[in-house]
Amino acid sequence: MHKAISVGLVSVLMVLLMAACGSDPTPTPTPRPAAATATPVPQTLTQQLYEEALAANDGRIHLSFPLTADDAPAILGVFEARYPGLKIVHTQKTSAEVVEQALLEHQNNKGTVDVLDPGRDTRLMDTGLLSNAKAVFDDLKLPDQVRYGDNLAALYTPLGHGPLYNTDSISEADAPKSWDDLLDPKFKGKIVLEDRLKGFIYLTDLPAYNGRYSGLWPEERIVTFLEGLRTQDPLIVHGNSTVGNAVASGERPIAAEINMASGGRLVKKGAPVAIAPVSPHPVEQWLIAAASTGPNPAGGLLLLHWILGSEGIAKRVEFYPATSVDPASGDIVATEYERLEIELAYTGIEMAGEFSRLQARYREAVGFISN
Amino acid sequence: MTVAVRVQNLKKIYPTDEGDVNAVDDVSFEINSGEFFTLLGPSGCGKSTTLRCIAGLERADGGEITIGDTLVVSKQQGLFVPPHRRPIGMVFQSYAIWPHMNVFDNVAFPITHGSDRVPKSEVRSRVMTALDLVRLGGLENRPAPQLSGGQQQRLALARALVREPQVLLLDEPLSNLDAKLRDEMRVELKELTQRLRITTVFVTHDQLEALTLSDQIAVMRDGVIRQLGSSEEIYATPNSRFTAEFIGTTNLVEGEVTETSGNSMKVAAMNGELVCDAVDGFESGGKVIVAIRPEGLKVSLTEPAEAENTFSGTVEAVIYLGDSLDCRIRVGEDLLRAFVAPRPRIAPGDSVFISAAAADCRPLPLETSSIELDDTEAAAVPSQTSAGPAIIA
Amino acid sequence: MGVIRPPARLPLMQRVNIGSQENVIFGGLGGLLVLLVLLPLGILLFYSFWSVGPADSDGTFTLTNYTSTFFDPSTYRLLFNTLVFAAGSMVIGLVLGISLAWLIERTNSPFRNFAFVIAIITAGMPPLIFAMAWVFLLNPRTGILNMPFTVGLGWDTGIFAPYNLGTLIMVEGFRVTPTIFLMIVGLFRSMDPSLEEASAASGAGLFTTLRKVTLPVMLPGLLGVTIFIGTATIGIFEIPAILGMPGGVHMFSTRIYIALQQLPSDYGLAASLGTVAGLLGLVGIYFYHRVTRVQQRFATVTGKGFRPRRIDLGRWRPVAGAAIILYFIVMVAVPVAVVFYASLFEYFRVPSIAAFKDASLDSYRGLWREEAFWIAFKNSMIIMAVVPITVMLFSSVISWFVVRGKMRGRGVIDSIAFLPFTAPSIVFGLAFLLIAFWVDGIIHIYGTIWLIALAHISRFLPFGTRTTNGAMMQLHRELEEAGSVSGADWLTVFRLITLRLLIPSLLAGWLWIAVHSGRELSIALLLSTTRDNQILSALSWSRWENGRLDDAAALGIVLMGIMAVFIILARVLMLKLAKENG
Repeated sequence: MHKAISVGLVSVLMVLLMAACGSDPTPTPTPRPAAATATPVPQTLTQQLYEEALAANDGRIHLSFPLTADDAPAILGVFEARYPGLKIVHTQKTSAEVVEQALLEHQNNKGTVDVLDPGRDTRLMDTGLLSNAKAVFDDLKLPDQVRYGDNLAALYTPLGHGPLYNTDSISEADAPKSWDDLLDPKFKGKIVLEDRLKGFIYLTDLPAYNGRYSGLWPEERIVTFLEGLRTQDPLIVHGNSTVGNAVASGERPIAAEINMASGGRLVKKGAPVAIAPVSPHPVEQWLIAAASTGPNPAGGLLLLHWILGSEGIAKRVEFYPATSVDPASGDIVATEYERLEIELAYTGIEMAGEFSRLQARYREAVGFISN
Repeated sequence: MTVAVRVQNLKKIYPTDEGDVNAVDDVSFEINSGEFFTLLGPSGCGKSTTLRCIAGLERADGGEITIGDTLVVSKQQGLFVPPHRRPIGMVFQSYAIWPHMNVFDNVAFPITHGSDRVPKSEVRSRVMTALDLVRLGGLENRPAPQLSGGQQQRLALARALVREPQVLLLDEPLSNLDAKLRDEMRVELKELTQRLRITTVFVTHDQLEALTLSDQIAVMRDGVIRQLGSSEEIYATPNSRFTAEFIGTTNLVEGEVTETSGNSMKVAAMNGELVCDAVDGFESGGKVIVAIRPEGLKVSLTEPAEAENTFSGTVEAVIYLGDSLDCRIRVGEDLLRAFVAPRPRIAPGDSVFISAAAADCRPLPLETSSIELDDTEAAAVPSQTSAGPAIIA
Repeated sequence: MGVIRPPARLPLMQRVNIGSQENVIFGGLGGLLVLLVLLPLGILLFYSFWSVGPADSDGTFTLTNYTSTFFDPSTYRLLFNTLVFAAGSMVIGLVLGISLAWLIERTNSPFRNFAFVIAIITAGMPPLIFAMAWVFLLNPRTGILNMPFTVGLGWDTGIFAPYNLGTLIMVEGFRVTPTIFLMIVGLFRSMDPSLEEASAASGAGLFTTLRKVTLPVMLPGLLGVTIFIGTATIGIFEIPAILGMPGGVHMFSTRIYIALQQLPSDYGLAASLGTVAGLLGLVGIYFYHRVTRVQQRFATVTGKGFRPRRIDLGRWRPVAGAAIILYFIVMVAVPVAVVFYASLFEYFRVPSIAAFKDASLDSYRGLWREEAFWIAFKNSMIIMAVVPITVMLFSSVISWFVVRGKMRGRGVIDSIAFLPFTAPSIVFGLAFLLIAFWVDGIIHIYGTIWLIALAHISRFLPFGTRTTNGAMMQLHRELEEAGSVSGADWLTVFRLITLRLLIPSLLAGWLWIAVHSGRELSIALLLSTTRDNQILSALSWSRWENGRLDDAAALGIVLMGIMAVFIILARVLMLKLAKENG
């Protein structure tokens, strides 16, 4: 008895000690004050969101998104200049990491994120965790094909996937002009591939699409293709930077597919690489959404509005290729797309449910031993 | 005379791979206040264990221990006073000096961090007094590891004494000293404990230390006390072969009792007859061992006048010790050892007469086992023979 | 003699069993271990039998996670790979580690201090960086070590290739060498040099003594080290991830990572694989305990100064010096140089005059300006300060009870404290994530650096107890007993005597844990929810995964720099202490 009490006492004391030492980086959201009394002139959407954002969480907005170090402060700084009083706390995270985290948090009624990449599966949309952003999307006049889940998320960038080659090792004439060109024996032993195989997954035409999107391939065709690619003895690595590096250094002069953000960046920095003119480039659903359960939901919507709007895009383009498909924006990938006459093939949210299955199947086809 | 330490029916059991072993088996004794009490015996006899039970470093499996007026251990009552609450001071065989402290801090520790703390103002004087007692005054700032072996031993002593404990416990404190230092420290220790009139419990395997230092000796073997008495009693009148052999050197002669009458006994031995002072417990016809100390044997080249206890024999070996001769003399089947004066000079091969006074011949019960006198710190050895009863004389 | 008098009347105080300080602390310790160790592992076990992950609500008990694992033939390939990997790297690590340790501890070879510091600095290198460096060195076309063939002879590919089991084993062997070295130094220091002296006095030469006396005597300790490191290697992640996966060589750790990366994460599979790996670890622990029980102790801290004799290498001295320099070059200088090189460029290219024109320190400048970097820096500092101190304190107390205590159940405490060793870090981190959610109502640790600290404390507890167990065994018990009989209670003796005497070992263990904790990745990755609780190692990985190699490399260099400072400071302190204690 005596022992049990002391055990309990000491344990509680230790636990309290740790708690007392714990810092609290995410202050609990303060309740929003009542909306301002109606003025004669109706507020614009952004004005209203701005006011609400200022009031919540000390004006802090949490963004969990794979923007990189150089980009984030510069890009987000423009937002903060436009909306003084608001501060963005940015954490660089992939969607895979954020989704699980958000779900767990939601289960425990503990949201820490306001804007995030909701990922490839639909769980976040299904749980009601995301804000309905119809008002924002309508205000920006976003076309239907870039809206997802009934206005719960939008395409952050039309991120295409396609092959990239090293211009020192492969001339423009020798570069592949179609996907099937990759199976040419002259490329044997020269190909590198990222183990997530996203490009091929997005290239898949799903029955659930009902033919909405053009240019995509049936699943069986992709499987056959990948089995053929396997005979080319590709190097399958983990991480975008590894792929990009392999191509840029000439270690493996052609990447079967890479996302155009990474590829475009290398082109922009002057690395000896170029985008291969194959069509189509399937568009990865790199989505962005605002969380309704975060500390600052209004701020989330406001940030969403800015990022997807022209000012946001203009700023992003400075750092981030493949942000826009409009060559006029100056986006280097958009320029190349126009020059090489590469077509984009959009994809649907239905991919979310098939992603894992396709990935497992394609990994097996290409010989990536995931077991 | 008050009793400073009382041990009653103390038991300690150790489980070993061959089963449980009684390290201390129903041991009882009393120590009077101011007395120097020694636990003497070969390794594994249980003497250290007994001391550690008094200190509280081992938990007894049975029995009771009282220090002063206070019961500190009682298995029946489930009482165990932890060592830090006992009014003791202890010196370990390894001294256990704390190497990360200097001399002063080592000695001061019991009165600055122990259970009887003294006010800060007194600490220094108490420490210096203790250091002076052991003649380490002036070294108080030296780091402890820089002391020599002898100095460390004295430091340990000072540390044990600074608390002015009721009982001083010493666990083979002189064993790690070289011979000359040991002699010196023996004298100092005796002088110190007498001067302070402090009750001392001393553990040793060295019978010379025991004899010279003690007021009372408990000779232990296999977890029991074989004999308890003063130095003289133990030496002159051992009650068993073990005690006789363990203390000093002795000759052991086997024989058969032929007659017991009044104050003397007659034993047929060495193809003759030995007359001894009578001891209880022996009957005519019974087997007996007679212990005769070498210094009690007189050797002469000519037949002595007294015929009692005289035997003839041949000298086999002689060792010259300067102040005496150590002779081996064969008498029939027995080889006797005698210490005699250096003159007349006896040489190997001489025929001599060897005799002893009846008082110097001590009859002992027959035992089959012999003692082991190795120095290694072995675990308690399982008892193989029936030991004699624990005697409280 | 006197008559036996009846016992005097007892004062009330004496009847009550006082002095149960130890019992209270023992009980508290047990409670903490349950929370820190059994709870997370229990959660893991639970999810291995559950059909859905923690984010989904309707799940049922199921055995399919296990049946699918056991009936899948690829699991056995995993097992084979993992065991061969562990065994092979152990052999390399042992050979190198023992040689180094012997040179540095037992001989008068030159550069001794230097070698020691370098060895520990390597331990501070994030495995990610180490692996990357070797990729850059061994890449068939652009690898630096292949340059004699590709640039010199004009071949398309050189002879070295990175993505196979052989390279994995070599790199990991190099990587564990400093850790093994440190552990063996500890063994050497505890060995009684008079044994070797006796051999020398009998006329045996240098190598004979080594073969016939030193090695056999150290054998139990060596076995212990082998089992310990081998068990740890089973759960290692970064090296197999970078050097194994591209070659199709998979281990338990990478397979678990892939399971967690899926959408939805396959917690069931991750947990069941983690449990299987954990069982392997348990087997390791079992043998480790048996071996260390056999281990004999040859020296004690008795208060008499004791310094080992050094063997004079004579004319072999320059050879030893050269060996140490070579070790330094291979183990440290080359990988660091390569990683530093990588941090200077946007993308990797083979070194050439043209390449150097593009080199810049931009990535470092970028980091300096970046808020995320400074937050990660602060967090790493917190981790490296809090975790080792807490672990060493816990470990000291645990070891006291295990080695000296007499309570029942203290062997159990030792085993529990060793358990965190068994599960791969990555699943361990998962368990703590779940705990953070469960307790969130009471204490807010989710999303804080303290959660990572807590997970690390649990994770590195075995490292701590291993050190303190050994140290406690060497501490002569009479030193503590002298305290007790001087009137000091348990806590005072522990504080003023035991801990003080353990300080050299505590410091060594502190350093080791600080270094491992600072560069730890898998747990930190899993538990970093926002930028606010990222640490430098996780930041580095994140940059690497997102295409910023130069950033990742720069962060690796910075992290190593921090480690180096720590290590040098600690080493200076340790030397000072050694001098003081004579």
